[in-house]
Amino acid sequence: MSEHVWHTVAITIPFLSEEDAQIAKLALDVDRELQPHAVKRVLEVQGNNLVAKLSTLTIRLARLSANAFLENVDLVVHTLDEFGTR
Amino acid sequence: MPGTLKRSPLKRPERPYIALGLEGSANKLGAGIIQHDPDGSTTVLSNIRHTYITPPGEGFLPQDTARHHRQWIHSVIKDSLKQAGVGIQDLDCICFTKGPGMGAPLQSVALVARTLALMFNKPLVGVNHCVGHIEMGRQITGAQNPVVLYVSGGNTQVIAYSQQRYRIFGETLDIAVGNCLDRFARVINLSNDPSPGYNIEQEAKKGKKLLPLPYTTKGMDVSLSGILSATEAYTYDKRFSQSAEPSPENDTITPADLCFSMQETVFAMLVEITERAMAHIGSKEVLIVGGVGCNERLQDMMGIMARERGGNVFATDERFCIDNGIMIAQAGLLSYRMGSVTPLSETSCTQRFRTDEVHVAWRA
Amino acid sequence: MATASLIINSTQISQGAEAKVYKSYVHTSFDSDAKVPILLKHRFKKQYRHPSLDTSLTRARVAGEARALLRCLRSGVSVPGIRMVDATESVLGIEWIEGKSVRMLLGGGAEGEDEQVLDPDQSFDDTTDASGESVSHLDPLEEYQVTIDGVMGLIGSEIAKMHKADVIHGDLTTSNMIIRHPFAAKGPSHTKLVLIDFGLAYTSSLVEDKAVDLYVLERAFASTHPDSEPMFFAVLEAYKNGTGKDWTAVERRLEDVRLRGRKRSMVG
Repeated sequence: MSEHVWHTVAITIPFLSEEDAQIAKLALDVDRELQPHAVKRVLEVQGNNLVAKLSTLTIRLARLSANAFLENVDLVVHTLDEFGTR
Repeated sequence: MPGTLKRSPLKRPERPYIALGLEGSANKLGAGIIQHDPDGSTTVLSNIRHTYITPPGEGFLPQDTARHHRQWIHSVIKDSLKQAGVGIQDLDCICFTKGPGMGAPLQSVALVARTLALMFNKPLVGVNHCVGHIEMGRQITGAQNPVVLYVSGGNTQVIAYSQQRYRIFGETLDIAVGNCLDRFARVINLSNDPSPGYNIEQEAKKGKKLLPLPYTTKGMDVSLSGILSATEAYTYDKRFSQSAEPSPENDTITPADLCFSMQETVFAMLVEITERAMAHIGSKEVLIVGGVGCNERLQDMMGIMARERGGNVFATDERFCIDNGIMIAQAGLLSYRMGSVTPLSETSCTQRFRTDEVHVAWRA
Repeated sequence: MATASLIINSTQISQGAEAKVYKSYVHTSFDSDAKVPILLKHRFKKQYRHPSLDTSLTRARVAGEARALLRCLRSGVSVPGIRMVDATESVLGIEWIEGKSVRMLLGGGAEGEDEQVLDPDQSFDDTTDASGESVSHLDPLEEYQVTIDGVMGLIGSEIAKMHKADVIHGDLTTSNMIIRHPFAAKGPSHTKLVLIDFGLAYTSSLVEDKAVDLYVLERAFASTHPDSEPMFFAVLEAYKNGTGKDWTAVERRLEDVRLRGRKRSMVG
């Protein structure tokens, strides 16, 4: 176990507009991962898409962090839906 | 005596200010809208709450509580806007609880606050939950500079204001009073609806016997874990009966007797440390805030003490003493009017956020 | 009965959290007309407390206070001497100490001082009383011939002596320490600082109890005297010198107790 082997998960979430994707990125980026040495998260906006790249040291952490991330995305998407002006 | 004169640093607003407050640090989810007017008055435009209630014998866990908040937050916010008759675009700022509290529920609410702030380009104000309780209590009761007893599921503190801080004079050395009562309610299987503490209070009214329990005050601090285990131990006593009628005649111990004994002992300790703080700083006013502050027996006892000292007790009803969104709006708007906003990058939550860390810029 | 009439003929000087405090005069001996002042502490019935709880607590505290004072006196801790104990009437009579509390000396404000907050539009002159209030500007530290460092040293060494005697005060605050007025201190043998108010005191040799005792004082300093850290540090230095080898254990535990306070989860 000298070298860390990273597991990576990439998630692409389409939004209605680039603006919405940007809002989601900014809102989600504030909370740090609880185990930054074992879970890395990079968020990027590509067009109307929010792209998340998760790198983790174990499969379990990949599952947990992807889950938690998607729950948060779901909350943001709902908020945009419920209060959006469109 | 005239005492010291100080000028309030808070200027009267030149126009009405409106703030939304979001709270979800424990099992209550709340949204409230407050308005501060140029004439110095404050109006509660709405105060909506939705409580996550668990089955008897069960406490609330962080993940389940967060799930509840995520499920309900949009309708709670919508109701608060509707009742207030305002839109998000009308708000001056969006206030949310930064801590202390349970991590996952706090985070969920903060995430919604951030999303709304970004959508409508509104400033965010992160609020200390305890300071929220104090400011709302001061606003509702008109208490000027009281000693504050803050009693809830997670906190037991005796607080007094001095030099722009709410300083903690005394606190629990182990568990919070609400936690003590709630956990005992679970031991005797009382319902969590509307709250375990409320049901303990009702049960205690039927109690007839005062059973000896450890009475532990240390200066202005208290220790409560010993009382919880001692009360629990009585339920294994041969004299204990879950179903018997409480009576002063026999030696049977009933759940009502235990609720009564626990309340009498714990509240006497709380009143005692509050009185000690009052004597220490020379204040005649007491303000009780936090969920346990609704308890009428506690309010009665505190009132008797305060009157013996020639003073007064101030308390609020369940709309304001139980966790709510309006208190977050109130404390947040005071801070906002002093020019304070929380930059987006600093809007993460913190489970531990002590009352005395907050700079109370709006008071002299 | 005698106690009750003694109280009736006394002047109440304050109402603490625990008791009403009176100043009274008693004869020093049968054949002398000279009267000396004593301080009477009457633990009156607390109406808010359940009667049986109140009775047992009060009785335990009157006896406990007398016991703790005696133990301190025997071990040379500077505390007021005992003049009388009446357990049935819940009255304790102790030596009258002429002086000022450390809290007052440090400018922690007078008890009962009211602060009035002005609206920003109001001018100061509007409300200033015509009577004016001219406070004596004599520095109390000078009047009492002490320095802050000196007082901190005395606090630390008296608490160390007390803890060596296994007495835990239970309510250490700067209000519960008095500096004798220089006119009242008879000769150099009299310690300037007197620990008072042993109503919550008890006997214990546990490191935990001593550490909590110090923690209570640390918090009292922090809440009453802003920027008091160096002061409390000086108290601990003197305490350390007074306790010697016992210090290490107390220091470690004090650190634990502080963490417990800060780390407690504060949900709700």
